[in-house]
Amino acid sequence: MRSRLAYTIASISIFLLVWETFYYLFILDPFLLAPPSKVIPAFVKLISFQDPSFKMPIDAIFSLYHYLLGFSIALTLGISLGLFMGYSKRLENILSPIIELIRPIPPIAWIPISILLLKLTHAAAGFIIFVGAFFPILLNTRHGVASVEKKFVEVALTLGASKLEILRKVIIPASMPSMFTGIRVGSGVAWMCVVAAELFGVSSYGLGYQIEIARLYHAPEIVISYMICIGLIGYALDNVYKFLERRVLRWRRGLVVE
Amino acid sequence: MKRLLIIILPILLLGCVGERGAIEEIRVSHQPGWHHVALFLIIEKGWDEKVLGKKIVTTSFPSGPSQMEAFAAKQHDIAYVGSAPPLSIISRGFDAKIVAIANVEGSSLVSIPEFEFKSIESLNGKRIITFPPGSVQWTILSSWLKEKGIKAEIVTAAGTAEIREALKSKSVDLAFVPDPAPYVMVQDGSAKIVMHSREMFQTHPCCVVLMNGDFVKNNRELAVKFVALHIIASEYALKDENHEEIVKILEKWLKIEKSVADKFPGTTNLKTDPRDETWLRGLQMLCDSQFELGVTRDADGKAVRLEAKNIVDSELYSEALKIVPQIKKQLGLE
Amino acid sequence: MSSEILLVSNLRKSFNDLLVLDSLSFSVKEGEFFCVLGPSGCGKTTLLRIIAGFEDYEGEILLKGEKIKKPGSDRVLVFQDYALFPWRTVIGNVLFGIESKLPKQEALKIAKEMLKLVALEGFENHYPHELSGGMRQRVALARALVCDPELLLMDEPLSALDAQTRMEMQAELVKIWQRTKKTIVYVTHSIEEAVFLADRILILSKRPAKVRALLDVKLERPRNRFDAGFTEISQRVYEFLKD
Repeated sequence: MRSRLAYTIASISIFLLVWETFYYLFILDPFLLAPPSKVIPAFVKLISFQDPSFKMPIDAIFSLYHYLLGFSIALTLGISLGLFMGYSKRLENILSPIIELIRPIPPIAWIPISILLLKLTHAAAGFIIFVGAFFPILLNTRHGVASVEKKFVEVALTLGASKLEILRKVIIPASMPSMFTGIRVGSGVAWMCVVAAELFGVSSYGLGYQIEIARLYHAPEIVISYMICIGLIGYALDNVYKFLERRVLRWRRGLVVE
Repeated sequence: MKRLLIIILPILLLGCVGERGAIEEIRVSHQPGWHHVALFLIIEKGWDEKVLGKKIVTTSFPSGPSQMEAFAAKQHDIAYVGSAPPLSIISRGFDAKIVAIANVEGSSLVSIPEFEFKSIESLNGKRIITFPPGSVQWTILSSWLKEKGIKAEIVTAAGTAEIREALKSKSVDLAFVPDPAPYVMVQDGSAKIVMHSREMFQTHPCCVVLMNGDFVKNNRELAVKFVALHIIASEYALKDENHEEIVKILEKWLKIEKSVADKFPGTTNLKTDPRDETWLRGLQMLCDSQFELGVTRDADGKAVRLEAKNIVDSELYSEALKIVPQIKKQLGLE
Repeated sequence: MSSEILLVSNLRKSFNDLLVLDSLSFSVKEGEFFCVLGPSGCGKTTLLRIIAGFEDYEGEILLKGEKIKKPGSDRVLVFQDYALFPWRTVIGNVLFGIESKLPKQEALKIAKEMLKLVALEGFENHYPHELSGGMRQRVALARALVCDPELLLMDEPLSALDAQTRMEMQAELVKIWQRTKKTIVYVTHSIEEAVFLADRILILSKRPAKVRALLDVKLERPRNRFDAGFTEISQRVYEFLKD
């Protein structure tokens, strides 16, 4: 555990050093890039409400709001639809072609439609995030359900379980590992969509929107600070899901390599 | 050998973004509004080749902030731009000067047809869309709302096309845009005019002619001649007898209909002298606003307040004024 | 004279064009230990799955006079690889069949007693992957027994174990059978195992499976593998098989 901390510190320090050197050796242009020596003080100011026009913590909250809006719906819809499609061959056959056609469309391409239907509201931003998260969750859940070993269903049947019991007590727990994979992937995509969605001026707050504003203020150190913030939150989110996964899937510990 | 390349290559690349010496063409950026009609005129009448001996090539930008990004990357020599966008690159240390005014006033607050404007307070809680932060429109709107104590939500868009869309789809209640946009929107029925910018801020600065510091240094004669042409063109455009000609030029350059172009000059006031005290005061107010809004920062990211006098090159203008008569003769004007 | 609990008449089964079971007829008495013996691939597992209700068939199968159609807890099948639910603990697995049919406390009590019966007391909160093969088999057995089935179907449950554990488990199984007095239909390909466990042995031929013989094993329990009587019966079984 201690050596992991040491590695992390060393790795980040080397990266910062290279970045700083690169800037002073090759860039030297305050309009193109900012070195860590400018970014880190800017970041500290932004996070502590000391900047006159950027309020990073509030932006983070708004971004998380958009994320939760879109992600919660993606979760609900994705898992329920995934369960049904994995279970019912007929439903799968009906919905699968449509899904396969829509899935390759990148979330960003949905922005014009989103604005048209939902106007410039928080819901419009949430919608883009929904599109990003929905498909990984759906597909992984469906795959999880479809891969449930037949023998578990047969065991349940021979022990006298009803169809609903089988769904509740066998299918869902057995497909949980795949569901969690879908959740983590979907969350990652969703958070990346936050920037794309907010870029379109949905509200005056949000990390993605402010990156654009900072760019127009010709302040690369603020742009990079916001990028770092986005990265940190994304990392934290993933760790939350990793933690949840480890607790819910306690039973896998002896079974998988992990 | 490989090691040598790794060291040399970046330096060579740096050299490519270095300075321009003798030039073949003059690169000018602008926006699709008739505040910049002087530029269109100069090119349409061929005055660039006649007087400057060089061709002017233009690039159009939807609004000031993105235009200034390119300017800061040294992609243009001259820019017709709002007076506010250059402030943030100058504060960061970029060498550029305002050499002439292009116009003052000339923007309007428009609203969706259903909106009832009874008083300034009617704007409370409404959504207003305008150009991005750092632009003249945004700066004027933000500080005017702040001054009047109005709480309205300001949304921004890259250019007039998006603003028109937003208003048409009623995603916003009002828009603050420069000429000819208000007339275009009234024409297609998606908006009605609520008030003109000069009612918010009399003789407020709008567009200016900005020049790259290196360009002025290395081509002073050209710079002076250009400003002289700008003065002449601005004068020419306002003459009634030239109205038809101007309308045609605007139709071509702005891709607007004759009925809209005919409204020229609208509320746009084509002044040129940057030594004007009232204007300088207005410019200083813009500098103050941008400082308060945290837009102008130095290279370390700290907010700074610019001095209007320091960003205007009035000497160049005085020189240009002096040669205006002889240039007019050269062009065969009176 | 104990009654016949399972009656099989002219059972035929084909998978597409492949005939697997050919006109099987036999009966199983209540409370007996009934073994089905046959060479590998002869269809023994299929027979068991049909009785369990997982496959359709031609002919007639009656459990206590009722036709067999769907799977159910009156005939619990213990699978070859036990198929314990990896996401449930030992006690969770055992509770599976009864937790929705009985109040919580009662179900828990029954489950715990069953674990005691199969000598797994103390392992309630372990996960299946933490147990040895023999222990898992016992959990599977307990899980099946709590459902109180009419028929306990077992598909070569000990074939995955090493020889020593196997012998121990066979003895355990007999003990549990004697205590619970269940009717067991037990599939195996080991002559020795069949003779050790069964009251009667149904010997099947190669595919398509036909009834070769139905032998009584009249040996006293507990049985001794090295006994003369044991060896004699084993020899007879072998004679039937090898044709």
